[in-house]
Amino acid sequence: MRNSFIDNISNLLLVYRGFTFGIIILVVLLFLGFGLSNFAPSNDLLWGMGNAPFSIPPTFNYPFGTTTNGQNLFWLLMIAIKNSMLLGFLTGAISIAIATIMGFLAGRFSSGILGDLLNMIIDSFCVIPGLPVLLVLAFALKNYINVVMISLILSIFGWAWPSKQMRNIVMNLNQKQFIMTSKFSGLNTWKTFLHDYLPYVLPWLLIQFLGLVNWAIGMEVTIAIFGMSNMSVPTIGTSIYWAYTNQTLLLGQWWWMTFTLILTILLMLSIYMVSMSISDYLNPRTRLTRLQKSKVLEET
Amino acid sequence: MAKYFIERIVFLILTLLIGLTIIFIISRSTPIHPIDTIMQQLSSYGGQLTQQQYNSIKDIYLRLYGLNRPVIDQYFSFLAGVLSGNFGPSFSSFPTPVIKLIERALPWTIGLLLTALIISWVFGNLIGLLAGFYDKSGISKFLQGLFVVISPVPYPIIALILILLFVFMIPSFPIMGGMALNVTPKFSLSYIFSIIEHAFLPALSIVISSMAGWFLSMRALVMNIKSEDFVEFAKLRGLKKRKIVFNYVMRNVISPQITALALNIGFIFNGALVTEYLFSYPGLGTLMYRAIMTGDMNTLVGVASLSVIGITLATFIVELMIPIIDPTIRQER
Repeated sequence: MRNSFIDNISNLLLVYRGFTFGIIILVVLLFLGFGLSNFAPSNDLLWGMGNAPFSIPPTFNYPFGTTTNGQNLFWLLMIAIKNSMLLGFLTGAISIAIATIMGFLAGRFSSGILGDLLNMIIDSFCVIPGLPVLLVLAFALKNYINVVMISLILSIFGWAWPSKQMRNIVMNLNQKQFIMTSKFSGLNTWKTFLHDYLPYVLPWLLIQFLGLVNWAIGMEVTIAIFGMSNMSVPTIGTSIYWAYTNQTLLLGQWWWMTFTLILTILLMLSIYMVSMSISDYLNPRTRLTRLQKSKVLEET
Repeated sequence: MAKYFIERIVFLILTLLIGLTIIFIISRSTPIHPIDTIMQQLSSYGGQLTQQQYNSIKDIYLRLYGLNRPVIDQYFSFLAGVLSGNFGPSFSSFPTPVIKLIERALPWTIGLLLTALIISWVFGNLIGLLAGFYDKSGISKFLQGLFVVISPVPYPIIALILILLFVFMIPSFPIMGGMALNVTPKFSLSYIFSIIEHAFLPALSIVISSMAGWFLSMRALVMNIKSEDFVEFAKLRGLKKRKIVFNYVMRNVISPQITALALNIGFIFNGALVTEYLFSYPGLGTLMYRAIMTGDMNTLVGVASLSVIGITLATFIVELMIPIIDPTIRQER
């Protein structure tokens, strides 16, 4: 008997080019961010003064060029990717935890007044424009902002969308026989959640998690552009902020902004591709075409 | 039908209450007291203040902003103030009321947001509809690939790419302000042209990013619907393609897209704020940036509250359109 996990992964790799593309880029970026960045010289760990010459275009020694403060942009961007990914993962984890509980409660008790109320609260958080509120919050906590704090702040709005979908899934599951059976055999809510609902929603939670990681990275960029991130710590957002405020484009120093943008797009696209492929893989509507496709591939 | 309206109105009030309460709690729980910031600025202008003078000035400020009363009192006067459009005076450009600053910025934001929203929704859905119906064609697959690449990229990144391309590499558009400085605001061709020229890139960046979402969801919806029996039956009856697409398929997929529009206005508004700042467009986004830079808490709170009210109302209006289009809601409820 073959291992089903390995089976699934190899199936995904075979059938989905997007998945292969995404996972390769993602692994490379993870290696660059979490492996290689440990070898960065210590004077490139924060935005500030560096030892490199000021603003030189990409050369062999400085593959991405240097900043206007004389820092090696290559190392800064590696650390920026690491910090942004950490921020994304943390926000994703916190938001998913809240979303799972809120969505489950709203779906499980959807016929009662509690479910209605929770549903309305979830919808409210979806509708409220997050950015202005987050900016006020980041402004109020200006002196305490760091990567963890930004994740906590972003989670205030991050949980709402996944909750809404979690609720729909739970409401569909409510009609299933095995859920009914547990309900009528007197299993308590917590146990049905762990044994009956959770196994069903786990793969789907992974997709939502990846979506949230992307959302958080993008949101960090947005609030950093408004000058509301921790400006000394390199993240993708602060890199863009400093490139923009130092007028690098006006000075013709295209490399700073360009390399930051390219890496950002690669990072977000790879995460998105992986999550899209998994969601397509799990979708029963596409299962038939996929089976045919993988059969053809195995025969050839 | 009546139940639907009541539900929507309850939802509107609840959303407003949650949004405004969050803003109130945040603005009152900041560790940096806004009055202290003002006092710091005051003492940095020079001039020696005795402790007594300092205290009396501080007291005046506290009373002016109503910060000396109990929190519950402040909460209700905040709600009353917000609903009547009174956000108090701005900190940094004292004594101009915040509402005056917002009034100046608001038309730009509404114009930009509304234009971008309508264009992206209509065209994204229209192209998605056709691409979903003819999903085997090369163009449809190409568009699918293109929009899959665009859709995870956030608003500011798209805006920066456009700035990089069309302002610095191939200089073809201006980046400063809402119109050229030498144009007087009157109803003339050059005025309108100047406004369009300045709004083009910001609007384009919002349109590109939000269109991707509409296209992808519409295409997926249509591909599901078009394998249903009633579409097959319409084909067998020999109806014209155009009739099948617009009268059979579109009618079934348009209502979830309107619901999605209602839920997405907030997101697109977020995108518009940051886009405005990047293009130095004189709207609410730029106003917020300036408020952050000058430490103007009152203006920030004002813009945030107004955004919550505006977006919630816009959502409400869009939701009221759903029963007009979706007969199931009209009859069941």
